[in-house]
Amino acid sequence: MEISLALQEAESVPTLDGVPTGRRLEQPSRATTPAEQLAVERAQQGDERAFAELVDRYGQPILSICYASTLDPAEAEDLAQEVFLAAWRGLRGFRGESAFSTWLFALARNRCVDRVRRASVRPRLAVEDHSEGHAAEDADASTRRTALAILAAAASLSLPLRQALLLRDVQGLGYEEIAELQEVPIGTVRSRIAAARAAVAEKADR
Amino acid sequence: MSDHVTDEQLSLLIDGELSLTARAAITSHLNTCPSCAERHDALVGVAVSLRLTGPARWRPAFTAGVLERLAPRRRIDVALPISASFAIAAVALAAFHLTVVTAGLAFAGSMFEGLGQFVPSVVSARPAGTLASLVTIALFGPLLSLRLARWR
Repeated sequence: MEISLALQEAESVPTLDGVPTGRRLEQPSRATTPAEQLAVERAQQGDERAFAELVDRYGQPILSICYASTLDPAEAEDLAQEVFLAAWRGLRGFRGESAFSTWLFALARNRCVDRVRRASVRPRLAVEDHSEGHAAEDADASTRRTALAILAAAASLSLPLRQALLLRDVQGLGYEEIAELQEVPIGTVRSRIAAARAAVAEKADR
Repeated sequence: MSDHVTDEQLSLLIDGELSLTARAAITSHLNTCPSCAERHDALVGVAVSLRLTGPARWRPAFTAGVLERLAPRRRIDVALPISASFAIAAVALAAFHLTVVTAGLAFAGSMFEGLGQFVPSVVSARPAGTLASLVTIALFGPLLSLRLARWR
């Protein structure tokens, strides 16, 4: 039997065993707007308030990729701040040959690689640090242990697979957003997520 | 060509990324193939468990933290008019100077108490301390107040 694949646009918030699969954190449109262009130019001249606008705009996606790399909320916050500090210091070198988001995401990916090379990944549940309003609050101890075991299995994946999996399943990003963050074709994202899920399922089953 | 659905197809099914036709075909296959159904359930288990861990969320305080790390000293935000900053500087200088001068004179008076007629008493020396304070304020007050006013 051959089952053909015909992709379609993601549907409106489907659910998976009662958990919304389309849950997304607020993600800004990544197209460079005139206002963003202006903020970048002002920040290049040393305007901290303009830079704060950029931090507000890109804080969530940068934190997402940092958490998907480190699996530790506190470490992800620290790493995300480091990314923005590096961006501030390197902003004068940004020539606008690519979108600001592309430049910033590349910076974040490099920092994540550096961090993961330096330190081993020790997964911690985000709910341990951020206890405000999400499903894990009500999860019982057994569910939390299972989730932590799955996270531990994810920690052993290669960085690209781990990032793709967690950006999708933990941070709730869409395939296109992940492709932009990882700077790979969307087909690569599909195969990475599938391979990562299969690998984690196999490890968890042992 | 395969007799079974691939992990990628199962994954796309989980994420709602398939067309209605493809979804129907795969769902139909899962109903008749225990092996694929088992793999599907395992992948669903991974996705559900990860979704329950909760995302890391950016908070406005993080932006403040980033700005704080840009240039810590410049984040001291004193937005005072020049007159207010001069008044604060003058009072601070006067208080400091009066304390030092008075304490110094009291110490000198106690040291040379036996020489009574040659050394002025603490009480008689206080106007001199006040005068010295005024001179200090006149000289350094404007400089300090300008410094405070620029520190915004």
